Amino acid sequence: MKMNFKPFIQIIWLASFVVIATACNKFVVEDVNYAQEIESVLVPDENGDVHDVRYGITFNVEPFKKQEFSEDEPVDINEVRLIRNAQGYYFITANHFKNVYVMEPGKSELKLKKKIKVSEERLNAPAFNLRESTVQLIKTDSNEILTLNENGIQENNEEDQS
Amino acid sequence: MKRVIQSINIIFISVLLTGTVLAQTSDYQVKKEFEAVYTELQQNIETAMTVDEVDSLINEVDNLEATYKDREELLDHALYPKTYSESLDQLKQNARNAEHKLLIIEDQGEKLVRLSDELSSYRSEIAHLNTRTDSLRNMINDSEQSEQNLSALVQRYRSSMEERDEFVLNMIDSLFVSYRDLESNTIADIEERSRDIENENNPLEVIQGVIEDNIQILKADDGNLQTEDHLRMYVVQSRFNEVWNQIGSDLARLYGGNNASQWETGIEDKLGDWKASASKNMWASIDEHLEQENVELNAFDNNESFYSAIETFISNATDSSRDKVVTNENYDDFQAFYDFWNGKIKSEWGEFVQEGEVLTMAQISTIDSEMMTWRDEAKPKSFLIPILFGLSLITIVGLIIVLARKN
Repeated sequence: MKMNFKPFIQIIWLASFVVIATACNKFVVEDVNYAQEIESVLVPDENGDVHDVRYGITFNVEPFKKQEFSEDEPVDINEVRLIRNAQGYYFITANHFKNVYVMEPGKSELKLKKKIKVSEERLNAPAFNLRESTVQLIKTDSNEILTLNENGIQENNEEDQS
Repeated sequence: MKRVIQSINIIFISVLLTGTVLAQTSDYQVKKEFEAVYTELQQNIETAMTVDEVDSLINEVDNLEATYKDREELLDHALYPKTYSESLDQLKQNARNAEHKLLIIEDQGEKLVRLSDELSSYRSEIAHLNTRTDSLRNMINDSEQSEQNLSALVQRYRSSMEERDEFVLNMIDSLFVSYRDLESNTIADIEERSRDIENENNPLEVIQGVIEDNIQILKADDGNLQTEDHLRMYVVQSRFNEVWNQIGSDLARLYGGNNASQWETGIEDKLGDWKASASKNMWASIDEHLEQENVELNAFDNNESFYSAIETFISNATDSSRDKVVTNENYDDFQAFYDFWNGKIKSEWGEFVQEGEVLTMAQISTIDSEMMTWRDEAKPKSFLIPILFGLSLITIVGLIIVLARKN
């Protein structure tokens, strides 16, 4: 009696294909540093779009405006401040905001990771600095510094640090 | 005053930013403030008017560098694609270039004033020589003196003209040498300094005056000058034209102010008149000389027609010589033309003929070769040797016959 090997060969082929495909999907480059060393200060155009030529990102500020202000508050956003930490999250705020928005980039989108309340009053002249792995929010009017990460404000805030 | 205010601005911004740097408020702010001082320094360097000013700006660049040294890494990122040190190097290089340019301008400004003085003194000397030649010409025209004295006066007049032309040549050479060294990119900067030069010392006025004098002299010629004088005057004009073509536009820009193009056109028109007069007198004088030497050339009034007339003359004379092998009539014609060609065109007038391109070297060389052919054809052929040879042959044959009969 002769054995039929044809089904076995087909199974081996299929198994090999699955193994190779799985290996391809797992191709990952690790320890990528997305950090943007200096914040970008972007001026919205008439449509509310901001373009960061150097770091290559364009988005609209209207969604942030809706988050921050009620419809009866006629506030113009003159400048948007943006910085990216090593993990790749964008930290976005602007003058008169109360929050810093930590946004996670996706396919053609920025998804809110964390909305960090940084001030009871509206911010006046905020600025971002990148220090090692963290983002600093500097309230230049009060010289107060908040250390932020994608999860919120870090406990060990240094005030008036140089 | 403007400079002082600019310096105060820079110091003020520097003091402000020193405070900012100490407070370390915002990296972005540090970048903006660095860029503000940098831009202001760059503008001040570009508009600096003196070497001292640039020196002081170089010190300010050093201060800027010292102030931001600690923020170099940040600024390397902030100033991408340039680095912090590249940006400062660029600023220093700009300052050094500005300093170099200002040194040249200062030097050239002084040179311009010196040159104007020099031109004025040439102008006075030429005016003096003009007066002398005018008075000699008048003396010749009014002269009722003996032929010997008249001849001496004409000789003095011609020498005076020669001296005058030499001065004009020196002046134009001096002008050329001085302006050739001017760097064209600094001409706009030294224009202002050139405006300080008084009107009568303005080189354009001097040049225009010299051209007008020459046109007048050429038009007033009443036959006292010889071909050599006309050739020299033609060469002076050519040289003047050549120099003007090279530096005329720059001179007009420098000294013509708002009327630069009118000056340029005006002088070019006058140069055209001068050239026409000098050329007409020179060709007419050569023609007259040839007529006196009984050399009949076709009409000519420029290089091409003169060359063509000589070629035709030699070619016809060579053909004619072939028909008259025995007579030496054509050889005398050859000799007359040879004397003119070698004695005048190539020797006595040679320098002016070449410099004024009355004939080019190639044309002279072609005519030389045609002259040799003409000489060979014009030389009367001697039949003495063939006759003697024939006689000798007959004698030998006769002797052989006599001897043979005896035997």
